[in-house]
Amino acid sequence: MTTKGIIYFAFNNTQVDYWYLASLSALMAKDNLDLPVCLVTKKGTNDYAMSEHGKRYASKCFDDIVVLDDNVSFIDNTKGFSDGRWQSRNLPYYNSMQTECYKYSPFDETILLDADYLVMSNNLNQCWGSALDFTVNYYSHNFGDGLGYRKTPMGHRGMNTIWSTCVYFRKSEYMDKFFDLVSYIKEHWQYYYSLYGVQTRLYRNDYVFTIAHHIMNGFVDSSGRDAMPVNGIHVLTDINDVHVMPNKNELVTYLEVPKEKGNYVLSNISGIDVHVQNKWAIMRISDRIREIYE
Amino acid sequence: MDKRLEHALDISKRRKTFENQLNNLKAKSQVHLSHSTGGGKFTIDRSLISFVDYLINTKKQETIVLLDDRELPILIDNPDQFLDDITAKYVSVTFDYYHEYDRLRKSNSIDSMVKIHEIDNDS
Repeated sequence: MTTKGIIYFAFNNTQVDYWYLASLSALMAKDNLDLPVCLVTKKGTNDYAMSEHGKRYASKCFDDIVVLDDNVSFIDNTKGFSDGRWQSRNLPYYNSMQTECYKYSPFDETILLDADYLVMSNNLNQCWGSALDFTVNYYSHNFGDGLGYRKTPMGHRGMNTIWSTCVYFRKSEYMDKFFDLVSYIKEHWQYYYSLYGVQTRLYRNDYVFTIAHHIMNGFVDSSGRDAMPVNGIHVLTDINDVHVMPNKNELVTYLEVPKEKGNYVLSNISGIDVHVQNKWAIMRISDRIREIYE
Repeated sequence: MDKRLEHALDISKRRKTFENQLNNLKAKSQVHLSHSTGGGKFTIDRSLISFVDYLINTKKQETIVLLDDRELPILIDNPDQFLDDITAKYVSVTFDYYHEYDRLRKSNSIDSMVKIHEIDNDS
């Protein structure tokens, strides 16, 4: 019988407790999807989590925790984190280990999720048993901008960016080679950024996955044939905030009105998974998430 | 502020919230109006339901092949069950959509549109 499950990666920086974010997302995923969850973290992060949140809580959230040595190396990455429109800070961003998801996943079929992806439906269960070994999201929908679902072009070649926020893969020979290529591109990411016309200094797994996918696909666009059986990623960007979680799988949020900086309207989002980019917003409702899902 | 302008701005604010809520409901129903089987992904709509019903009633085949959203051929080995599943999902999702839209349409304040008054009552 094939095994299925969710995998998260969590490496804390000086201000964001990614371990805790992943645990909250995991509680919601376990409740809505009824699947085992694996976490990959490092010793320092895990030790902090154990002292702060406790072993008992960890065992409620994760079925398996892979703890890496503290000397595990990351690509030097700093990015801006916002907490609403008026608070922003540059912080280290330890995201480059996510490309090792294939190596660390204990499951035959895996969904890789970001720690700030709140699972508020059972929609991801549609992914299992896919005809393809690798399915991804090309489309995203930002709450509040009124633009609906759209693809994001990468670099001047305009290839459609794959969102590494939520990815499905199955263990297979093809995926073995795919993730080998991902590792290779990661080692030479600046060269590949330049080759594909990506103009940013930020290392992004989205781009590494997109480039590897393009190469493995015979240097042609897959035209979305490998899209996950969900409509896309629903994003609450970090200039927005969460007011409260009134009920299970329901959020009341503050959405900034387009072209009106700092002017917010309330919005109720329910029954769909949400990528909440404002990490502090999730932390502020963490007690409520635990109350509902633990 | 002039009362007339104040009232107009009030309505304008409510309208923004209404539009946001409607977009959220649309996104939610789009997400749930999908069905996966045999490794394929199908958007459930009236044409899919009618077409499958037509194939079952006219072709009388035990299995059928449908092109999914990615235009990949997917073998449906139990068309009757498939039709039952997609129809049930369509009915359930559109009913939910209707009820939530109806509630939204009848809401006369931002609080009730985003159901925030329920939270205050609960707490």
